Amino acid sequence: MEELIVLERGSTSFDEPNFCGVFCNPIKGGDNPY
Amino acid sequence: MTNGNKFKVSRYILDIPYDVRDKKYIILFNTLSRSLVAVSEKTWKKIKNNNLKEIPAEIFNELVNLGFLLPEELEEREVARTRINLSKYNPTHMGMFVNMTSRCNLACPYCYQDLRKNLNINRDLTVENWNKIMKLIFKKEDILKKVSVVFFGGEPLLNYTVLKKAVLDLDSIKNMGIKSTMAIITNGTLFSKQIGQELSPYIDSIQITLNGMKSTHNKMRPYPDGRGTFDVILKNLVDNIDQYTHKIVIRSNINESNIDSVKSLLKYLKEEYDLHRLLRGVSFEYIFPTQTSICIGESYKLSQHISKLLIEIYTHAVDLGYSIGNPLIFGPCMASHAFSFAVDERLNVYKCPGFLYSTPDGYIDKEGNLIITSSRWYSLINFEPPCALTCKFGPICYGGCKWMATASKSQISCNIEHLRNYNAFLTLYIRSRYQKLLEGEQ
Repeated sequence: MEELIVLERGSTSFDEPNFCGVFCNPIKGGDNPY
Repeated sequence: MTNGNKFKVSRYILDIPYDVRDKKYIILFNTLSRSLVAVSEKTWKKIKNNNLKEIPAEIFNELVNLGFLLPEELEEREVARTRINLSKYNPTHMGMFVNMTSRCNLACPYCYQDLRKNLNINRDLTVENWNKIMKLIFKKEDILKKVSVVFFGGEPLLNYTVLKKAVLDLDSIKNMGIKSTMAIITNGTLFSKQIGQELSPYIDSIQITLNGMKSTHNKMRPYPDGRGTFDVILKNLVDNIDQYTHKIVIRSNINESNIDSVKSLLKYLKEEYDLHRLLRGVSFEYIFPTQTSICIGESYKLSQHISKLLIEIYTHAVDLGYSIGNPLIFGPCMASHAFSFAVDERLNVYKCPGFLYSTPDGYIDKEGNLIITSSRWYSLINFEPPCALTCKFGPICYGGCKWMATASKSQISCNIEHLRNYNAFLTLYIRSRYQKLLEGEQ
């Protein structure tokens, strides 16, 4: 078994605002929400 | 890589056990870097017990790169503050919610936009006003790298001529070296195959709402004359799914009365139309109070009860094979970002789409200048919630929804009751996206 599997490589700076889920789920969490 | 420095474990880690067949993983999510990894129990034990020297160099270095480990001398809260502030004041990105029209062709009894409905004036964004928004973008040509636009309303497709021009204009800014992403929030009734075809090359995602099976949905989302909308929305969805594969998100607004119907809907859409494979995903929100009730102080919070309902419906969706977004990420939202805003059809601007038609924070003038008239604009940007750095959820919550916070006349709307259930939500997110990868199948 591998000791580490990277599933999502986070960004060291949030270069994009999060559009909250209440109104705007289509782009929740940036470029790759789904 | 260590250069002789001692290292420590990040304070912003959420960990959950995750078993796949005979493998036992620990999933780690760093709320500051937003890195997500699976590690063996053995590795997690070394991290947790601070036996970092026992971690193989390659893995150690990767954990540092991903933000899970950091030099011992660093005060991580200051690192977090810097990174979040870089994000809040980043001028290379602009996010806009563009209200195409105040008109809507539905009469949903639960609609939160009662300030819009009370206007009694139907207004569309004109070409002239859209051109002013483009002027604003052109003025920032030298600094902008990305523009993210969500078209909404009212029902944005009621103003299709201007919407189409806006979409083409935004697509053209790639010639200036600016990337654009575009999303539409629509009720789906006007999303015909022809309109779908015309927009398809440019639109990154479409959100369409279905609140349950036919009878439930039709009661919740009728035309003003009482006719139901389920059949036409479903037809448009099915007609468009081939050209919008992995671009459409089904949104369901839920409460105790329709959750079972939404479950039936998800099963139906999977069995009849294979939509669990073809959609970009599904998302669920509890039904919120109206803008007016928030304004008069009706309190709203993501309580344990609501959180459990969301877990119930997300579990059902993931069991059926639907994709979901990371349901834990709430912030920092566009209200905290210095160059993002919602704009109505008269070019009044607001720091959050939830504030639409209340007192605006400013406007866009005829030359395309953004004129700010309210201190709320700046105080929302500059506000740092007292919990933002001390709470391990701070970097993904950042004081919660600013719209809901206004209900309690507070600057924060704490999500801790909901986020304490992170174990359930993170497990569902992993199952919906990474199950096969963790099983060893690509």
